[in-house]
Amino acid sequence: MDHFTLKVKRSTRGQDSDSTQAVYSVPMVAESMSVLDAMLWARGNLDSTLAFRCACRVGMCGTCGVRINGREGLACRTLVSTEIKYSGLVINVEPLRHLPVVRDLVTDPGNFYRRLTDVIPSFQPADLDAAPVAIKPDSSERLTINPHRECIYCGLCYSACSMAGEDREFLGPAAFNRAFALVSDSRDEAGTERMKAVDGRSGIWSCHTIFECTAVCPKGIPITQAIQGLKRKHFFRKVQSLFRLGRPS
Amino acid sequence: MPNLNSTQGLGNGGFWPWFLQRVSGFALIFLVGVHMWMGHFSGLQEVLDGRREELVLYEVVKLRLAQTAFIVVDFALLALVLYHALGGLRSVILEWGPAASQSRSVTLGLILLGIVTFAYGSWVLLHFILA
Repeated sequence: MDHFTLKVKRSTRGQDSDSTQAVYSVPMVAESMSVLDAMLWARGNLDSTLAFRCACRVGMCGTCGVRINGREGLACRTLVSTEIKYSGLVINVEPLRHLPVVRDLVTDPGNFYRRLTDVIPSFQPADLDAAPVAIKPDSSERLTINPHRECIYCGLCYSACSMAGEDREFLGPAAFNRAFALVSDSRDEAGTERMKAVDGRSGIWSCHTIFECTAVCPKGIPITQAIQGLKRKHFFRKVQSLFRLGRPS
Repeated sequence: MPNLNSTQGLGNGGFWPWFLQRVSGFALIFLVGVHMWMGHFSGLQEVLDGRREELVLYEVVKLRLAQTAFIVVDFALLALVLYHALGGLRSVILEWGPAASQSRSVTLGLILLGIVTFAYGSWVLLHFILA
């Protein structure tokens, strides 16, 4: 059976100074073997202290997000056979960037979720007792919202975003995507507060439109499009407010 | 290693700097086009035919800058190039943690640099216009 090399960046307290690289020789058991399968094999057969998170194993939960050969990806959805084609039988696995490492590949997503709550990520209807008016499936509003509802909050976009690494307060691609989905929904009443939240110094204007978030999203969400959409909405709000100058509201 | 202790609230300062950077960018596409055409292509055939010695001649530039439209275009080009370039530089500098806390000083320094450079550019243009 063919073997490949699995290199995992390990640390005990998340400090680069005490990080080491563990090297495991893992058998290629099937063409469909994922990087997560390799990590599970290494933990089960070679090193039971290797720490990483996983849950659903089918790309639904977003728990197993790591950097694989320098690129963010879900370990369960990344095939070993694809990776070793380009990396010479070596797979490097590192924890996600811009989040504190708890141990090995386990990161603390606290800041990622805190930034998400800044944009009020839940639907805010005008009347809690009234049933929400349905948006027709073929309407342009629904077609605008739909791709942005698929987020599983895996944090890959946050890790790939260079601005998130520079500014801890930067809201990040996932928060912008959620905000866009909700401000595009005519039934939602918190649009003004959300637009105010994304307009701050650490908001949408800091995004340099590099498309890294979109490139790594495991759900194929056009996140950059959402950020541009928020900028467009903000622009039209500004224009509207300029024309209202001097008029009684 | 992620910069987890980075300065909070970086960024280039909101909607207006972002918007004006784009507006100046679009205006520059037009103005640079006019500048390049007039300066480097409009008399190219004459040079190729041997009717003119060089493409960029002092007299040609002087004649061009005797027209109000070209005076406006050149001054607008100078102002917009400086605004766009220094605005971009400000954005880059302010995203660097240590400089972000000195936001006012950085902005003031770049405004001064812009004024000095504009004055120098104007002096060169006026040399042609007033000569």
